[in-house]
Amino acid sequence: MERRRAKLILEDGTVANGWAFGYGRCTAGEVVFTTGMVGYPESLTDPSYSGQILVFTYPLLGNYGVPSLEAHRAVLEKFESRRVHVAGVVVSEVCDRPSHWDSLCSLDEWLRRERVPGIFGVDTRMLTKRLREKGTMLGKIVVGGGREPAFWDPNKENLVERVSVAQAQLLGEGAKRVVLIDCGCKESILRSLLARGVSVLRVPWNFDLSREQFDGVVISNGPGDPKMARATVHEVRRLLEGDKPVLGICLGNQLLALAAGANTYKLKFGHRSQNQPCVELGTKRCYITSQNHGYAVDARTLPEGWEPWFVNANDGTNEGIRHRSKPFMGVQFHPEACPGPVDTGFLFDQFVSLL
Amino acid sequence: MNISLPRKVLVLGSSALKIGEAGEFDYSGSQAIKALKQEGVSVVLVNPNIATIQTSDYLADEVYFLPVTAEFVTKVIERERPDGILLGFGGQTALNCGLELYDEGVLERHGVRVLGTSVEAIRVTEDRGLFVECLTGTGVKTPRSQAVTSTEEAVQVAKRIGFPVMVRVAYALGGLGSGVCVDEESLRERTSRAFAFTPQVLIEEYLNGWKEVEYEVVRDQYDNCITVCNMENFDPMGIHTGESVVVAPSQTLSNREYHLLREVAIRVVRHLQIVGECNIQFALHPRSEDYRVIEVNARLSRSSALASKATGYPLAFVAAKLALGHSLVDLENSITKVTRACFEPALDYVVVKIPRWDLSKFRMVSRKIGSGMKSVGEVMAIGRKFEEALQKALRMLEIGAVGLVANTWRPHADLERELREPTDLRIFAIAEALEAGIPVTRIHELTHIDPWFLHKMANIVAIAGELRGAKGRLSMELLRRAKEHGFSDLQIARLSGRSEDTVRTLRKRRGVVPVVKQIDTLAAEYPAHTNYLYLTYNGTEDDIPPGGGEAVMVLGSGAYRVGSSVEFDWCCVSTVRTLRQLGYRTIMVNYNPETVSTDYDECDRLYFDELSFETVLEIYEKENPLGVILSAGGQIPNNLAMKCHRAGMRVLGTSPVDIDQAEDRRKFSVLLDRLGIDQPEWKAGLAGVSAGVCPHRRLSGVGAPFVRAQRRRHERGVQ
Repeated sequence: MERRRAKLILEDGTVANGWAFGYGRCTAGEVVFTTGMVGYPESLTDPSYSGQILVFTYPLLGNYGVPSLEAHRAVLEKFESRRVHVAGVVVSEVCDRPSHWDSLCSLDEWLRRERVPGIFGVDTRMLTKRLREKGTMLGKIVVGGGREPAFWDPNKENLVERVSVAQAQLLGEGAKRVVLIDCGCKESILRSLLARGVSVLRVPWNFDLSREQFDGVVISNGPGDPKMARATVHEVRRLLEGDKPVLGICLGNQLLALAAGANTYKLKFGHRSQNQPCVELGTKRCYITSQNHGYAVDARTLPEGWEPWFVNANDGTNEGIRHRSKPFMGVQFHPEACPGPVDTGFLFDQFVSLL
Repeated sequence: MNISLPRKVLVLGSSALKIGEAGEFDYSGSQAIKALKQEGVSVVLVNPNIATIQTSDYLADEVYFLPVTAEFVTKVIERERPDGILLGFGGQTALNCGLELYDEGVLERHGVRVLGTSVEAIRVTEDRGLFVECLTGTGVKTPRSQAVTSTEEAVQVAKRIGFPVMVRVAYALGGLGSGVCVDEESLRERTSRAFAFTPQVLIEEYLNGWKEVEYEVVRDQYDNCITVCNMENFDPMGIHTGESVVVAPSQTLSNREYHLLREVAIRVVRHLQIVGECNIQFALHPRSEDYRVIEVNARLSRSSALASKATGYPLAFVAAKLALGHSLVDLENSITKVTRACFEPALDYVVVKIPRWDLSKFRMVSRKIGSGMKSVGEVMAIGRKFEEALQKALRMLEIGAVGLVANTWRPHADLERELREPTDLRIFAIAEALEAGIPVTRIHELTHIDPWFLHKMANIVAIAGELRGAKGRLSMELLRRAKEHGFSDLQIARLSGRSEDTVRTLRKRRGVVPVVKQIDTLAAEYPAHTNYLYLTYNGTEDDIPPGGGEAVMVLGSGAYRVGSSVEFDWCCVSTVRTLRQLGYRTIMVNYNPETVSTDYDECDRLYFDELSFETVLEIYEKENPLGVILSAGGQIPNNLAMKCHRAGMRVLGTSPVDIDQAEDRRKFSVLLDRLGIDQPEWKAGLAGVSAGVCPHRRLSGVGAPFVRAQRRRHERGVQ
């Protein structure tokens, strides 16, 4: 690989020099870090990362290459969406000679095709410590002598609108029908539902559900500040007047909380990892979960009739809420995993059994 | 949390060190004792190994220097009346002894409760037939296999499964007696030998070329279950994991594969109802998601010691706490002090373990490695590139290698054979093959080693080529890239035709220096409160400021070898403890994952890094200590004495000049003559003249066979 200089600039003035890979253009966004050690094809295609420059703390990226996109399939098996959503990639070392039976191309080639820039040769541990101490910051990747873009805050925009589907789509043949509100849905949520024998009506973030027939609703994950997705909150509020099961995941959990009347807030640097311990309240059970969120539900603001369900064993933040009597529940982590541990997949079983 | 603690617990040690059972059980036993003492539980230890730290007077309440056998342990139980026993911290020796005590009814008779994993579960994991049977119905795939009790039966089963087959021996340490049989004849030979010492062997499908992956799993009695670490063997199936180069975390597994195996690991461990720690080994097909569970070790092992050091997660300590009835959520992460023990460490570095063999010290021993364990120790290296960690590890072996390349030994005569039939030096044969232009695909065919590892080694070979071409001018860019890929100054010097000092001066002038990074279990997500450190050239910022106060640096003893083992670990730990009591800040340098001296709570700063002059000097310059103690770590640090002295480091204790006088055979002889003390006649480099050949600066006489005397010994030394 020929080496082309690049630098990452943070809004506090930190500059990290490195080398460019992927698509050779400049980019700006919110800089966040993930501590997961596997699953970069999944992470990079997760729509929740939209607008973010992603720092991988594991120093080697791209070891097992990138599989083929299976473009002909209705539901993807190996990716979380049909394109790379991150604004940029920051890593210590990028592998130019990947090795895996399922690999079609290298990470570098993939990012070139996806028109996403990357920078390697950076002290990612130094960056991570900076982000941990000062909180998530805006930043930009400047490639070669390219013109430096302005800082850009993705959280001031309605990112959900950008990554949601354009129109409703019915998948699967199960008798029970689940509406999946797509706020930037990971493909594995869809897979997790279909694998349990239900049919799924995947709808846009602002879809009017009043004329649809269904047995339950899943509100998906998605990018940015939940307060930007007002139309979804409005729709969920109407659902809470009924008694059909509702499951919120990640952003979906935050939207559920907002609809119920609770508040959300921005975490200092978020949770983006595959090793977050979550305790189910009232039990001695702790689950290792996959997470990717910058905002959280303020459990103290939960209204009458609601209760915290899971709590983070490390920092005590809320990791899930539920209604005391009705089948409404949400989790801040990702029971669908991908990337990460599959320990909480049973939540889909529980949900489907309520339909 | 309220748990009913036992009053007094008996801990079984692993007895004398043996191949397959070494210092790692001093580490795990010591951690268990610390955990028990923290709970206020009285501890009785049985271990006859006086060189261990666990038998020191400040750990257990009572220590019995007795054999770890049912006969002696029964007497200890009768006398001490413990109400609990830990079987999982003393290796196979302790486990076998515990099973015997249980079978004989000794434990029941005296009301001694087995803490942690139950005896029934241990038995299932130890008996390969029971193990496979137990997992039937769980959907977990195990190798097609059958337990047999006679050679005839073995032949029948092997014919059904199809040759080649793997023969595994039950209740054996380090895979003793196990191996591959390609035909009926070799099967008959191997099984008839095995039946001489075991009632049962397992005939198994042979998973040649499959990847070997391990997970370290922890479970509490409330069914919380986590995988602390996964590790990938560089050498595929067929080579015992103790004989393999091992990398943590896995490098070539996708998310799907990683979590497929992780989920199976947790399912198996829950099914077996393990409480505490265990290790599970998988074979993973190299071109699909097919897998087999190979085995489960329901006890602390060499792999768990490695996993502890590789992640910073104190497995043995936590396992002991769980055995007492604690839950994972109750225990804190002892590195961050704010997060919980119920999590899975995220690494932001690469760990490479390489076994240390001492095959040249034995006569008539084949250098081939395989499914039985021959290695006597191991080294662990940490870096932020695989190449960096690999080259560090190869130097740490102290077998004369300066890294993967630029070594001075003779090339292999039959390279392809060396690749096909692995010996202790195969890794260097791979480098040689790459240098000879043999393509990665061919090396992969011969070795089945994943091309990812081979490409990384090819990177090292390529940089070596660039360095050879840099005899005139060595660019800053190349120098930095070489250091990032783990080249030592000496290695660069040899390749580029300079002296080590010149390379160092050049590098320092250009600001090419390593940075200090912390191992914190959470990839910097939370601040670490411990100083578990390593050096890397792949970074721009030190994690920690230079330490203040009066600090003393202690150099450890490196890998266990024939002639140097836990006794030097005891020396180092005792030195550090004494220094701390005297109020000094302590800095430990060592790289042996099987030691107590590399527990981060034993010292103020632990550098898990090389004991080379180059690295010691870098650490010394960063830390600026009062001085360095070389005398606790045996031969490796002692050999650095003069170099350290000349570089201006302050060596505490015996002066380097005097150390040199004792270590250098010629100078020592001169000294004895001057003092008028008799010495045996000797002469350097002239074998066959006199009796004992004693090379200088060596450990227990490496390369010092006693040659048959051809002439009568002289009475006085020669000059």
